[in-house]
Amino acid sequence: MEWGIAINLREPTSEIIEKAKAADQGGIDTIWVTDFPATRLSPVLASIIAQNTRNCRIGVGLLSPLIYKPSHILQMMTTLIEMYGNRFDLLLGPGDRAKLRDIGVDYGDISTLVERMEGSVTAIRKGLEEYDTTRVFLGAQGQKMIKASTCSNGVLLNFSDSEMIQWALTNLGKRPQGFKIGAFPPSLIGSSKMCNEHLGIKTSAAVVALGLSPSILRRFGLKEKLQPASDKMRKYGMTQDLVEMIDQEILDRFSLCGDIQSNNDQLESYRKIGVDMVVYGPPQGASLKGVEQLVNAKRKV
Amino acid sequence: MSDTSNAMYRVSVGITTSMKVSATSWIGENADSLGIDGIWVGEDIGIGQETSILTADLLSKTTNVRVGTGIIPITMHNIATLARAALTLNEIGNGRFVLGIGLGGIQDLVKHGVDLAKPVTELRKSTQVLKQLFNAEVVTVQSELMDLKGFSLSINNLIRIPIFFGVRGPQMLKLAGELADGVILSGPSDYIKYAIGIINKSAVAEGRKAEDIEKVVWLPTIPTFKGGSEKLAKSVVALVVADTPEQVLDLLNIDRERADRIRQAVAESGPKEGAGFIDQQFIDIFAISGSCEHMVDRFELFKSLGATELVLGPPFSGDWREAMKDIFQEIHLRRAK
Repeated sequence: MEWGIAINLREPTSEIIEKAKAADQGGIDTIWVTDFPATRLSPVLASIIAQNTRNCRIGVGLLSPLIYKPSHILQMMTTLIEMYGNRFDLLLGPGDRAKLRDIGVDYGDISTLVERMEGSVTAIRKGLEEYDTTRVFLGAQGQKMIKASTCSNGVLLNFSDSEMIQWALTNLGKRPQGFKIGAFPPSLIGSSKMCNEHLGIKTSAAVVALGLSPSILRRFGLKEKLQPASDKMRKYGMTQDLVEMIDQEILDRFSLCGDIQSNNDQLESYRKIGVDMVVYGPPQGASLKGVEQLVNAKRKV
Repeated sequence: MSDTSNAMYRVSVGITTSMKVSATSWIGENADSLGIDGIWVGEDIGIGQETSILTADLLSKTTNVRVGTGIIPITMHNIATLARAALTLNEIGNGRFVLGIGLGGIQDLVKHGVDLAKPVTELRKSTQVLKQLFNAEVVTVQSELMDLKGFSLSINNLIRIPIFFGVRGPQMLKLAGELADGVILSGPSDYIKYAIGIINKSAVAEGRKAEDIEKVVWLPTIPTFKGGSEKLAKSVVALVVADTPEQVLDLLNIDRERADRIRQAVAESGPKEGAGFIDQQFIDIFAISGSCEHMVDRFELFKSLGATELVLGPPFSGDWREAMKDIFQEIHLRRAK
């Protein structure tokens, strides 16, 4: 099982470097430098992380081809590879619709969104053909995007629930050779705090849950249960009260949280259904302590 | 040599994104030891290395050198992305980063289908928005290029990132005098003098001190020593003459008939043909080329016209690394006198 960690970019660059060094030295396979439209620019930080780490792969993204033209994303990736070697991967996806709207980027015709993502992935993969170890992943939640991900080297799903992952795999159908299945949920492994007491993991899980399409929510019997929170979010945005409205049982389906043993058990169940990699999403990589806790968990697999 | 030869001025190196990684890395690795004051990264739109990543690489390879984009076109990038890149680069460089912006060359804008109704207004607004974002403000703005709704950089403390303009026309130069921390200028010496005059006048009218706005002069620099060739210098100058707008040519004290012959030859047969009409006067007006001493003399001439920084830039030919070492050695020798 490949282990990745998403490094939070809200902290100053010097702290980001410290976290990356700790993850690299601790044997984490891939450091994902996530991109969020309102903070530091991930491809630039990827270059600094590359200079400060030795062994890990570096994942760039999720980058949205709606913000950056595919030719620009390609240029970012080739520059990184030419400068620091063939140790970079890329995650593509449309990105958070509301956050994109805040910077003047629109999803456009929603009925062609999946097709456009496929086009971007294909163009970027073609441009990266000569760098054969670079993997291009597609971030997906919905049925169509999951199916479309076979144009990439792998799909990263942002829910943690095995039943949901199994559903995604069924939807995926026949996979190309070498195609990777990854889970990239909000995570907090090895913390002394209980999952239901940690607002960070609960909020991250709530963001994912409330961002799911109505059809998936219905499919898993979550539509009605999440409706009150969903209505409130539309009115007031994400608040602590809103997070508290959601049952912990539901939040648990969208996050990896717990002690080292429960993480090991979860990885084992993932392995059985064919998951190849786990990227531990926020808030795990938000602090140096979180990175160290994950490193500790990996040592004890 | 001008009478201001001992006065201090900055000398930097200009590179473009279309250069090879091996060349830009060499410059980054040697900048501190060569005593280079700054590095400017010019974006060849869509070609070669990615501008922000290249800039980050140079900032992390150096400790005392100022590194700036020179320029990055606001027409080609979302303003939020530009601000985020600047925030990141400023941290990487511990305050050594300069954000050089402009609209981009006319040919590039046409090629990418960019047609701004009010380019001066757009550059003004974009600069104001960048300054607001660096001041940790939440910005909502709508314009030809921008559409931000309650956007901020999620920073608690304000950051100070100098904003330079790469501009040419009189209205843009006037705007630079009002708003910019510096201007990157390119063109013949008479034009540079004219441009600096406009910037200074505009700055003073705005209640600023003229000397508070840096004037960076970036012309083609072609050493004719260490394997550099006069032939190349003439070809480059022929191309520059051909690309210079008529209005700028009209400002210059040059043999206009010869200039027209050069333009015609370049248009019909390319720069090599045009090079046949280039003499030393044309080379000195449109480029900085010659022996090491002559090139530094020319830097000093521009300094006497009001330039605060000269850029040693492309085309890099012959043994350009050795030529660069010689030029910086000559500059440091003169500074020490």
